[in-house]
Amino acid sequence: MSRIKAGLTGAAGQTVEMILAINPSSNISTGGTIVLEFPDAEDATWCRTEGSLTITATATDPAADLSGTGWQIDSALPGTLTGACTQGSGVGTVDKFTISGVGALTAGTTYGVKIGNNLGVIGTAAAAGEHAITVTASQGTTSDSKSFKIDLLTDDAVVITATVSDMATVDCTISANTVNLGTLFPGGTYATGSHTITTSTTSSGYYWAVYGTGDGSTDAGLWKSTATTHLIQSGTTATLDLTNASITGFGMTLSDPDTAGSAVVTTNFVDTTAGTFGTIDRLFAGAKMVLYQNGNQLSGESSTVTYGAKASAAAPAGTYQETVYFVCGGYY
Amino acid sequence: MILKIIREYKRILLLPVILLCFSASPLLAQSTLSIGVAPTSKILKLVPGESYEGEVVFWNMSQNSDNYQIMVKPFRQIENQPGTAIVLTEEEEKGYNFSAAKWITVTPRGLVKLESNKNTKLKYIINVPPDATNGEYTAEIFLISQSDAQRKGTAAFTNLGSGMPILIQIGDEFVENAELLTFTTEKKWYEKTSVNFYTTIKNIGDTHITPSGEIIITNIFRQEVARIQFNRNTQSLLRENTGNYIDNWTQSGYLSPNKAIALGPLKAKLLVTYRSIQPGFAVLTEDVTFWIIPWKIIVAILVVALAGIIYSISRKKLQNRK
Repeated sequence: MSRIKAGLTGAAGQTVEMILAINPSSNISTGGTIVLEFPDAEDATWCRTEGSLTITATATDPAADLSGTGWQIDSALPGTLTGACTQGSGVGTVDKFTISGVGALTAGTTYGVKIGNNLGVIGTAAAAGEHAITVTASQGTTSDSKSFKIDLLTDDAVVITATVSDMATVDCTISANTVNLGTLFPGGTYATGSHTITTSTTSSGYYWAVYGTGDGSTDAGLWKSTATTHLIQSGTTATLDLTNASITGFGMTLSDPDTAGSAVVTTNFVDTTAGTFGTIDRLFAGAKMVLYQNGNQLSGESSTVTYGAKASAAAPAGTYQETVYFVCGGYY
Repeated sequence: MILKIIREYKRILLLPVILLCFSASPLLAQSTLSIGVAPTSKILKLVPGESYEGEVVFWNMSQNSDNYQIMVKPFRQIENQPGTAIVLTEEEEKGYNFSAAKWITVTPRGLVKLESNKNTKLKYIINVPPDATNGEYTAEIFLISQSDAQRKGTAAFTNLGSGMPILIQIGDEFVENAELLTFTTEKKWYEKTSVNFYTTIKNIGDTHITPSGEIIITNIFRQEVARIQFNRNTQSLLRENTGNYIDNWTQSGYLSPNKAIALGPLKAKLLVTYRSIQPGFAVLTEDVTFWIIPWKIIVAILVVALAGIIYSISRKKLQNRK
């Protein structure tokens, strides 16, 4: 089906077309019919207006992607095809699409046919969910029938609206542009410093990504730019356990802004294990997602960013610095 | 002994020296950085030779004004996160054929001062070259702060950036095609009815797609337990990119609103459409099975049952002795 949304009326913008791939299990001679029957409780929904349908035999309709469906149309449905839809009325009668003038069908061959509006109008049932449909190919006393299900969705396409009232906005704040990391002891324990990032948005979500600068060529991390230069590298691993005596480096964690809400700190940057920090990379190319939220956030919510750093015993004394870039935005 | 005391003394003397060397000097200036942007993205359909004028508004809600560098650059997704944007490096830009950056002129240029608690409107003009070939082109009008932090002491300095990604479609005929790579749950069984579904989709067409659809959860009796919206944030996936989507199903208790039991093996069926025209003709679908086992409740029931049996047997034994 071209649309799998429930409750389509078949009017402009809600047009429904079907491509039927039918593989009879027995030979059916020429002059037969193919009938699609819809559930009894869904009268006048699949056939919104009674009347003729446009029937087009097709073997390779580019509109339909049959890959992954297990169906491969071998041949266009033969015959001088005409079609009509009729509505069911009450218990015992159902909506039907009837294709007449079908040519001879060979068992094991998959035939393709497209069904569309003409005077008759095709729609979909009102409720989302599974709907059982029976297709029958027959000629005289020969009849071949099969049932299948169509799953209709509440919505099957994203509608983008752009009005002034719902223009998406995102608002991002960093509480301090400088975070003092205190004192680093060569080969000693790790030092920390923190600030907060705050976000509000009217868009469908927000995200924060981070990248560093480091020494300008090797890696992100705390850089001593004066002689003797030295980089306390953020590192190539995803996280750093700075409680481990043999591990040094620079990283960060973020607190969850809303424990029960939809904001998510990405796995490597969660602050649940004391002393373990996520590593960062350099430049735009190294930007890592650290926090995101699905859904809007009308009032600002904050996350505490904690930086952790540990110097190796070989680190020369001096001032070490890193410039961390935060990028925030709303989803497109 | 004397040597040992001297060694210890040396250490005591060295410690403050190291401390001084590595310690940060008092940092004098710490200021807040703030940036807001509207709209957060723009999707346009233009023709070769067309000019388009628009504006994007930035604001600064901090108590201090800050200078921001205006950049216009093509962008890509961050990691495999659909709907996100990070501008390309110069190196990356060289190999990228669908940049609209050169078509866009922003006024003012260079640096812009975002005044405290004020809006700043940036006007832009997109001039599509007459010989532009069909395709989807991208660029982002991106602002990044120029930090005035005091450069003293061991510290992390921060800059803040945000922008408006623009997707420009030139031409009418685009191939919308996608592949479902994975649909899975994070675990095979859960104690409670809170499950994250992980879906990975690869865009193999030549334009961005915005997948939508539903995840339908049914129980062992084939009753529908829940139907949740897929990609409710409408996160788009750029061409030639892979996107990870996470959708959560949470329900209080083990009975759905329509009284279907949410215990034991459950099947989740993903139905995703992504085409803008006739979406139903290209549906991505996959199933995954997981279990809901409230083992604590089961253990509690077993313990109570076992205690009952032991009590009953003990009582019978006592009665037999009498």
